[in-house]
Amino acid sequence: MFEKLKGLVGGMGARGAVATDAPDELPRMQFAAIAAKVGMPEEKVAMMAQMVRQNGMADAQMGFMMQTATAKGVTCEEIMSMLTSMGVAKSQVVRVMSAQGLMVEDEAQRILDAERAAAERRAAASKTSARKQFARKAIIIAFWLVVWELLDHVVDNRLVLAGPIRTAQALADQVVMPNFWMIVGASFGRIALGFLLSFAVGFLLALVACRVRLFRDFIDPIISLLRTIPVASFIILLLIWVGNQALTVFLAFFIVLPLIYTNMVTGFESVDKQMLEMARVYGLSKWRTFLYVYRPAFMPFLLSSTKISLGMTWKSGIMAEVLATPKPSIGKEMATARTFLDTPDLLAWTVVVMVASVLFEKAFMALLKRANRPLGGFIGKRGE
Amino acid sequence: MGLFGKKRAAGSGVAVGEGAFAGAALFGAADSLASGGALSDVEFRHVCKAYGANEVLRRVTFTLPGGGVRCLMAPSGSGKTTLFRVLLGLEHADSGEIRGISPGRISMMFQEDRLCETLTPVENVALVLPPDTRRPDVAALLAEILPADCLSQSAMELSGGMRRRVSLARAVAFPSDLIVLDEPFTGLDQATKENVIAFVLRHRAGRTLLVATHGEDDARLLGADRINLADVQDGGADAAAGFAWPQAAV
Repeated sequence: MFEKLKGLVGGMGARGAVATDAPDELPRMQFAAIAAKVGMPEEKVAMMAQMVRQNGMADAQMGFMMQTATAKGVTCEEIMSMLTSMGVAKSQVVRVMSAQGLMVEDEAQRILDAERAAAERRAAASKTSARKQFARKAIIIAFWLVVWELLDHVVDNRLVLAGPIRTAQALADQVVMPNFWMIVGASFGRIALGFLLSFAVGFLLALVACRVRLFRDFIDPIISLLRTIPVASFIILLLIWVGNQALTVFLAFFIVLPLIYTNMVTGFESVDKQMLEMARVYGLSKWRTFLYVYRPAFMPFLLSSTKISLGMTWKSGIMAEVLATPKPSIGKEMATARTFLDTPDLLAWTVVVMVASVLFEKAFMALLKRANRPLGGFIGKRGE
Repeated sequence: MGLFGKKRAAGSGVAVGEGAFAGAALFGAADSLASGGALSDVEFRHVCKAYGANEVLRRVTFTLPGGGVRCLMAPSGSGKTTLFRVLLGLEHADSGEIRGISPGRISMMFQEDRLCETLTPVENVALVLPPDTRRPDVAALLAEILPADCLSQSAMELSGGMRRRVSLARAVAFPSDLIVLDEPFTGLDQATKENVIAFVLRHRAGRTLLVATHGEDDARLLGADRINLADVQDGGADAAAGFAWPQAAV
């Protein structure tokens, strides 16, 4: 197996010097081939690849996958080409492989060195082109803004389309309104509350479900049910049950809950059994076991599911507000804009929602990433 | 830096008299020894364990004398891992018993490193020690077998041999009555191996030591008697001597 691997990367050492960013160093595997190999539905593979491209993949998660793959009889180089095809950096694959004992030390070190050298060259190259890249992006954005503005001039109908300038004007008009911040704050509060509630509840439910089998057996069908109920049915039911003021909170809660719960359960299940044994043999406290054995296992799942659910909460939350028009809310303002066919206002509020959701996502993800630090500083006492 | 330098210099020689350097804070056995209580022998009596039709342990019977050093010679697939799992209480024996030790008093170096990947070597070792352990003490201990500059790197950035040594230091530092090392020298060159053996013997602090290994030379370097797992199956020495344990004891 290692001979093959050597051959696999042997060519790279020589070629790597020239090919700085060649993605074809390894035989690429199509998603269909990967899916067939590991016995997973193809769309799930594609979804994972998507997630890897966005957020990368954590070592613990990858180690877990490698173990399952090798258990199914997938060879080392196949795993390597699968993971690199899905967008994982080769150096990371090698590192995790050697950590899992699937690759000999010297070999891993050699590949890592070669990769590091290549990465340094890439970094040096990208440093010079970073400004170029930025300028390029700015030009492209400017291009689309101009197209939008031109389109507005061509259509020249305030009821159908508002260009960027008129949207900006409408936004400026709204921002100076006395109740603007109250409206934004109210919507923000509802959606954030719904999200945080479901985050906390999903986390706790998963925690209990992983400890008590019976509890999980009872909860799982409910969660699957929540996943399949159409959002529209949810909105109508909740309108009847909780009324229009609390609708947003509840909708955000029920939309996000299944996602957080299922990902947390998977996260807890992916915990390294060997590390759990280590914790047991050395008599680690429950808290330390949670912090240093369970946390690294579930954090990657929590991070990716949180990122997805944050976007979902805002979209569904605003939709609920448009339908239920609680006072005060962004959704109500949008509904009003619809009534008066006030397109610039509608677009202005859309911009507000987009900014608010991005800010919330950035803030919450930053918080979560802080919780994902190694936290080794808590162990033992510092010097004298 | 001066601290590391000093400790490394001390660690490079085989100085057996240094055993008590870190005191009771790092070594729990020191307290049980200091209080005058001698360690009791660890007795394996007719330990049986089968997975389905596969009888891995067949009335394994042998004794580890308290405070002694033994090498367990067991080729792959001979049931060594199962024996350790039963000893650690991770699995129940089908029959038989292990006397003279309770699972919480064993420090185990597993065949795999089993380190927390994101933590540094110092944190990995301190993780299994009481919360009031001083990190400089742990760092000084680790500096005896590891280069000082790798002590602040996370475990996943270390080479296999370094990780092995962190795992070993963790087992040695943990307060216990029995130290079990499962193939501790894989991936270590001869010089490092000798350094590591000196380290283990120095910090053993009188605890019973059981080392599973393939190396013929290791028993001599450790100054240990050998136990062949194949010989202690089927009743071990008792069966050979025609002696059977009374049923009540089994």
